[in-house]
Amino acid sequence: MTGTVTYLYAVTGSDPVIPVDELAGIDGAPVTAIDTGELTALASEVSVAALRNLPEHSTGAVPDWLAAAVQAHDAVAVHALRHATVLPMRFGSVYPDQGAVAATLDRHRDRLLTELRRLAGCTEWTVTVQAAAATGSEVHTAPPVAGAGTTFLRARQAELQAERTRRDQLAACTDDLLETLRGTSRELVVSRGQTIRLSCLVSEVETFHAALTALRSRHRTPVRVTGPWPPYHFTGGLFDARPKTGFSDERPEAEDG
Amino acid sequence: MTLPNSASYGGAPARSSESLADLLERVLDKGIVIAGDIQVNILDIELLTLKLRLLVASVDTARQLGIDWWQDDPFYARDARALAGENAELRQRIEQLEAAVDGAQQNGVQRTDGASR
Repeated sequence: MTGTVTYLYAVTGSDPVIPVDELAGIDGAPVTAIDTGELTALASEVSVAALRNLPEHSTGAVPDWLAAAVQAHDAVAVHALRHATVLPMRFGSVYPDQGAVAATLDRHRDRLLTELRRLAGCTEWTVTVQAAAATGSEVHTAPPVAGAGTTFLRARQAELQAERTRRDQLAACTDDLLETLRGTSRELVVSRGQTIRLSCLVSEVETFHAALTALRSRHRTPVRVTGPWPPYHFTGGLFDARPKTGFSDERPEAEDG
Repeated sequence: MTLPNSASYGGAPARSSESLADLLERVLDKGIVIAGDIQVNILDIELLTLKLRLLVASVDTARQLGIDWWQDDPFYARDARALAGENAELRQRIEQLEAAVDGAQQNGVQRTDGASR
């Protein structure tokens, strides 16, 4: 296969119309709104060669093309979100041509419309807490210094106490955060690691932010919030017309708010 | 890499900028997948899609293992710097202790030698 394929970024309803006149997709290609009646697909042409030239594995840096493509993918979905409820497609969804995209939307129209209704007025917000975040200025966090034995042991004791304090503060903040977000999010996806990341499906944005502002006043642990984003974490379904293939559809632990 | 904030929506502004690591975490392997209903050039198209997914999976694996590119992320870089600093302190401390032990042994030998005389 040579030439281009059609890359699908996102699906929206037909009303309101998403303006795409100056919208650029992957490799700067113009984005087209494919109107299929009740649904609209946002798509652009992508070079097959660009896709073929991607390495199959990477243990080094993210390839520049991939980083730019992911940014473009997200930028189109975020643009649509400014105007309407949006269903972001999984990164890398390509079709032979625009007709195949339209046919796919037609085939799954009912389910896509149901998803649009379910997510109407909702946006995704990301709340993160660094598990290794620094705490208040009164906590001694300097590493032990070389010196007399007693001085060294005292410094080490202070270090361990600071670590205990930090962990206690983090645990208290995380517990409070989970409770707060459960109360202000329609759905919640929790991912724990070096970063505790909570993806929140929010319909009452002002209430959500007011609750987080109040939470920040109660804790020293830094809480970071970004958004609004398309509801990537809440549209993870696999719309498959045949028995499941090797596609993965794993999601982090989900907590309904 | 730091990305610009998204536009405000629903009356609330974006609260902070987003790194490439944040973007990949948020976007990759999320969203709707429609598979299995393309009849034309199905093999080639799906190979392309699978190739992308393989690449994404390998990048994601690298990220989860905590190696390479995401060290550019300021959050993780801070941890790495802290760890490197701690390691340097420990190395310095070990050198000081080794020097002290060497000195004590030498003194002990001299004293022993002196006592034997």
